[in-house]
Amino acid sequence: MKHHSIHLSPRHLCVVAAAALLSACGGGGEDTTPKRVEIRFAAVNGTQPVACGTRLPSVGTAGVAADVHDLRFYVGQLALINDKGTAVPVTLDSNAWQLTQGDEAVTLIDLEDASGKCANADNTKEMNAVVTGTVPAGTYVGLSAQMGVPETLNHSAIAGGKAPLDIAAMAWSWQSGRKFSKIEIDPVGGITTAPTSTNPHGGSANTFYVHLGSTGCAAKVDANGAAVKDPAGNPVYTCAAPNRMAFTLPAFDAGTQNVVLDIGKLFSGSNVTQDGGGPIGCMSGTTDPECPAIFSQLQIAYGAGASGLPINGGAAQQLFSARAK
Amino acid sequence: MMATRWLDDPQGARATGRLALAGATLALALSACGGGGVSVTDTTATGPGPGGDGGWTWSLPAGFPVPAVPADNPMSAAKVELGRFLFYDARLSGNGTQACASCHQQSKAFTDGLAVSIGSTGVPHPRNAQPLANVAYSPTLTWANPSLLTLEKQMEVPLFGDAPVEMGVNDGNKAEVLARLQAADSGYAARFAAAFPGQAEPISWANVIKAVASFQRSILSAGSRYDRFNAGTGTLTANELRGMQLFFGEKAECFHCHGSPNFNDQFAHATTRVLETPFHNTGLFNIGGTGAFPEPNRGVFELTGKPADMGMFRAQSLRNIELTAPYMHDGSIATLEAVLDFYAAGGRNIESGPQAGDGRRNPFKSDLVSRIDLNAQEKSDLVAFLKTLTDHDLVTNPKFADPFKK
Repeated sequence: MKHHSIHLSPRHLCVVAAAALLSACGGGGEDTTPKRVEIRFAAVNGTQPVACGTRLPSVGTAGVAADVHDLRFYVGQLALINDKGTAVPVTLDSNAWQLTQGDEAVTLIDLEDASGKCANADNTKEMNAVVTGTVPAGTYVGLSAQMGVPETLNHSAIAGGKAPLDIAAMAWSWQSGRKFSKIEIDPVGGITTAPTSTNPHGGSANTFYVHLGSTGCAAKVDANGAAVKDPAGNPVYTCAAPNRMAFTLPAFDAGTQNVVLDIGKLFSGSNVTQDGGGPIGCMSGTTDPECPAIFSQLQIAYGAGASGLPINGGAAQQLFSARAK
Repeated sequence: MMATRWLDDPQGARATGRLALAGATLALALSACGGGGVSVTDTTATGPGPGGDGGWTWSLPAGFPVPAVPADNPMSAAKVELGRFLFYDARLSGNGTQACASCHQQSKAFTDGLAVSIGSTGVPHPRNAQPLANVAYSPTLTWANPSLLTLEKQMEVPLFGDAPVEMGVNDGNKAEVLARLQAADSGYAARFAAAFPGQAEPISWANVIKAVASFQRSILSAGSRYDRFNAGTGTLTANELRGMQLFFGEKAECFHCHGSPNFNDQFAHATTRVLETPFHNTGLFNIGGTGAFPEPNRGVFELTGKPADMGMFRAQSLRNIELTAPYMHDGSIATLEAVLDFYAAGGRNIESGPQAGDGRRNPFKSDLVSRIDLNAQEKSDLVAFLKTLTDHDLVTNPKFADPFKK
């Protein structure tokens, strides 16, 4: 092993002495201290910045104007990609927007401030647009992450849960998990809903929802019939369709760029003035007529019996991109 | 944590009820009590700690095993009493208009008499309210959700759910709702402190849920005329006895899905070895002949998206069924007589309108629901028997009653 070499190069000496003599190394040195990172998220509609109060001029296949109604999503397993192509997980700071448990990490990106059409009972003024933490020293060129809550964190209790998994609005009780995204718009002129067996004449609605989340979830039961718990005491679930969106930005510089989510693209294949059945918009159900167009943008395999996994690792997704600050 | 084991008593549980103990650290005090029931004191929770004020004594009816209780929420008298106050307190809803008890009324065996319940903001729920008697034995808690396995987890749905809104607690008001409980004149500070000793801030949502769950588990019902008949302390009429024979016999075959001590087929307890949580399609719908049920009431299918789960709902407990009309997950059948007509026909044929379709031919229908051709006398006998399952003590017992009512 090279540790036994008696011939230390200047570079080796610099590493040994880094803590005390960092500045002395001059141009030939290498900083081994972990790097602080701050990765900022933003929402856009093409080139238009999007927030509560923004009216998107032309949304989806019907080309209608729409107002932002909610704009929140969980980002999990965020990593920076180094110059060797390796995805290195960001060690998250501990704060009310971020949670790490074992190998799983999640941040709530909350881009709504309860203003404008976001002034709803379950919206809040507090916002968070950043993931903060550290990565080991190195050269980083890209970013990869999921829109979603990692599995073992997903089914934890809401009440008394750890932030940011204690947000009631992000609870998704019917699948015993979380809404990965709560992205909602109000098309100007409203939404016409198709006749249903309970409402034969159809109706109208105001808000087109995109609630992404794991579906087909069932609690794991052991041979004795008891619910299996993880070390944190939460019941263990398996979900038929995990529905976590994967995205990779091969070229990303946190210093000069934001990660932007293009809301216009998300709705680009949807007619947001119509709802053909199921919940208004897409709430990830496997038979919701509004979901295929949304899941196509998310690049998640969708439908009865589909895997709910990213298609080709999300390689073709265009929702998330790097953009100059 | 709980290591008690309940065994069937070959001499008849009604006589003595017997428990075998496992676990050296457990100290259980047993006594046969009036009516053939069993009293089990769980003293593991005695003293300072999560259990609070000296543990809990189950007064179990004959034939009822010790319920499974989550290890992190052991029963205590203080929690049950706190939970009773919270259950009946409209301050617990976002707009202060609705309590748990609004949709789970004691007089109706903890249902609300509506086809579907209405939430605190006026939004109708797609489903009929659940009765709560003996819910401690239910491995799943709702009409069609196999993923909700504890009352604590389930309660997040009515509290925080937004589709539909039930109690209407949300991020904008959840602190305010707790502050209402914290208010000096509410009497809750002492009750929470007693139920959750040693906690710096016991008035929390996690503890609200734990207390209400404990109260719900305390709602046991086995005081019906049928129970007294079974215990040898009461009689049934000839009409009711004929109904009972039909119920448990191979003609009507009701018992296949309603055969547990709770008259359903999802019954679990502390030492359940093989947990079964069956759901059934009973042929209520068959829209367009495709097997479809109307959204958002397609049963387990709503969660799984699996075709075979279409129309799969949980068999309801028939205890107190006389008091819980209307019936079915959507409250679409008004009377017990009409329910029997439905099962006698082996499903429901809807001839016209947007829900048209012959449910009797639903491709996903349970094989256990087949045409049984009950005559008028048999239907009358079965209804008479079902009415013997009413526990009048349950609906008047002060232990389960509204503590705010003077």
